Amino acid sequence: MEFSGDEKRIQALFSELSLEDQTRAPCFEKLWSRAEANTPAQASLVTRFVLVATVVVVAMSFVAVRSWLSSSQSQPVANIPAQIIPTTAGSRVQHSELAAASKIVARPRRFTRRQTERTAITQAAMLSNWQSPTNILLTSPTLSVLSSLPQLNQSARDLEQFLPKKNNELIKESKQ
Amino acid sequence: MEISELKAELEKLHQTSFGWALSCCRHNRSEAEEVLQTVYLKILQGKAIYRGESKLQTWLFAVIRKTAATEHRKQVLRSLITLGSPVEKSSPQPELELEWSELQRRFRQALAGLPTRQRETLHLVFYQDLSVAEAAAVMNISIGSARRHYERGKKRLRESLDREGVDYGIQWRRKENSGVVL
Repeated sequence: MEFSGDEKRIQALFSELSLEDQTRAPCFEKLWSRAEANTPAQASLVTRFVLVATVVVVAMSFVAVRSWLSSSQSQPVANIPAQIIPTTAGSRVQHSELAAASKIVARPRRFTRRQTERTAITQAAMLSNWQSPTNILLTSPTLSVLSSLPQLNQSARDLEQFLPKKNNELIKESKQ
Repeated sequence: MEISELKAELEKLHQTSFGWALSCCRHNRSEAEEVLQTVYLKILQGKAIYRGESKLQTWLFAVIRKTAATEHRKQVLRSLITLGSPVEKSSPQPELELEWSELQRRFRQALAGLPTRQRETLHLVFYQDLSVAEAAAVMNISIGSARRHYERGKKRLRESLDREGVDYGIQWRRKENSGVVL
């Protein structure tokens, strides 16, 4: 910076001041070594390491707990086979309910565990009530005969007609 | 910057840093030493990090100024907590005052009478040979403010020296200091 007039004089006074100060300045090494002695370098390193290790352990345990919780929650959903959902008219209501229930279960993990369990119970109940769409094919005109059983108080003769015929009787009938 | 590299640079700036620390501590030598040591400690601990955004000297002076202000604040607080007595004004040691010439003594008195900002600006410009912009960066103020402090400080110092009857131009010429051009 260029000075002129009074500025030069002021600068001269400051220069004298600076010369005076420089003669009294302490040794750099003295101050630096004193500062180094006061630096808790080792302690701070150990503290930092402990802090970092603690944070890592806490983070890992948190992730582990979260993953374990999510896996335990998603198990009921995984057990429901998708192909057994009925398509008959009678079971359409059940199908829609099941789909809704599945959606609820598939939502993010914000739902509580209790809600998940309730949904699983509902699904289990629906599955137990499920009927096959081809169930109607199993019905036949002889169903009433097949389904009726002889009563224990009927006569032995009546009971005999339900027994399988013996071979010699069959031969007799064929001869007649 | 590596710490060894930084140490070498700091060593080069040590004399001027001490001068600036003295100015920040109102020419109290022990306080200035303590402040400078605290600054080195901050650098070693990584509390003060030089990122190369400005000149090293500018950055270092800003750290010294801030540290001196913090130390002063701590002193005030300590005195308030302990006895409620007012803080002793930092002043140079009396044994040093005896060694100073009359001119020096009057000049220091005139400087001490200036407001802090004006004194700091004049010190940075005339003593440390920084530009007004660099002084503004050290003091963390705008260039306009620094220029205003510089002009007002200069005027006030001149008035004060005139009032003291210091014909600083003539007396200075008598001194055998070849480094200064008049």
